Amino acid sequence: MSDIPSDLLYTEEHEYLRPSSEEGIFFVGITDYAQGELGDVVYIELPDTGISFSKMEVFGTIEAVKAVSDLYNPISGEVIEINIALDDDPSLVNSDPYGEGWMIKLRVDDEGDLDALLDADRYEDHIS
Amino acid sequence: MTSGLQWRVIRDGPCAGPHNMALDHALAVCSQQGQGVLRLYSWIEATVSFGRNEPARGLYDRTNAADQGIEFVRRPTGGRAVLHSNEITYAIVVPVRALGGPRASYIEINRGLAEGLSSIGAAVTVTDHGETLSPNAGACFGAPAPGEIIVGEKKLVGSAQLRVGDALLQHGSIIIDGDQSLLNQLTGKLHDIVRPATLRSVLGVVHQDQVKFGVIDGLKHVLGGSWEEGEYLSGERNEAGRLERQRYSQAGWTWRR
Repeated sequence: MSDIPSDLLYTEEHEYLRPSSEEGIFFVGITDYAQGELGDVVYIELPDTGISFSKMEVFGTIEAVKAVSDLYNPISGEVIEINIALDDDPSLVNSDPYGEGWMIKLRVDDEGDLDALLDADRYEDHIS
Repeated sequence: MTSGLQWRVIRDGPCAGPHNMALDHALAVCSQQGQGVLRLYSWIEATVSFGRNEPARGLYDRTNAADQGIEFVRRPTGGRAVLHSNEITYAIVVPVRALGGPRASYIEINRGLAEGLSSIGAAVTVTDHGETLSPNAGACFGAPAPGEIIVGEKKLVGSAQLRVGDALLQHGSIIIDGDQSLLNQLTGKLHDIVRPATLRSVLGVVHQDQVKFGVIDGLKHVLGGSWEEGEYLSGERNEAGRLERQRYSQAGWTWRR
């Protein structure tokens, strides 16, 4: 059974958006379900900070044993920080996807766009 | 079983590395719900392919490679370096959920390949053990990962995947003959020469058409659905052309890491 925290927002492509303590800033990563599907993560390619991505634009890739998947930006915004800990230990995505396994911090362009994302119940329906 | 899928089998001839990678990638980009594609192909020149995220820049003697007529290309998929020479290469594209996700697909496709290879007399097994190897862990055929096709303890088939949108691409090499020792020569790592299993060592005489027939038959049996021979669609050719020009023929992509 996958962990789907109720206070996060999700995409159909299995990324999540977690609010930070700063207004308009969110953590982005992949869900517990997604990491379970991929298996042991061995490499993550993340963008430079300062780059803006539109909704559903590819912002990086994730490689698990032999499978590469694109990472899709859930909502338009600017990358203000990346999780450099994943360089040394990409398995954090497996062990703690919603915590230490976050990938980028995003300053969203328009918080009104959050309404288009899935809440936990709808994401659970999506993966079931 | 993917009993609902309509499969198209494309038997391609030998192509250059950038064209081969562009075609595989384009088939995934153009994938359609309810449809699967199996492409069988080979390589015009001996070619080293790198995994998408594998470090390669500065690690290979490119002058030596050029002298021996060996080309380089970087795959869209994960995994580690493969020397493509005397082999049959397969590519399978399916909707990502059709076989139950990337890991389940890996197992199902390899089960189909193994059944096909067994049917022509190759005593292969699908390993249930192996290591979790990072992209910089050496050559692809150096060590099997769980779910891979082996003879004894040696890999016979090396495979890798890409998920793009709602499609999953898995492609891989079925080694007919030769070893991967040229990789060691080109990297100067002569102490740990990789010798995969080969169909020649297992079967003696290898008839490529027989291998292809066995592979198709095994996949049909395991993956189900309806199967027919086909060709590339115009959209797939166009996308392959774009990807070849913009990515796979570019040194900046091949040597990006």
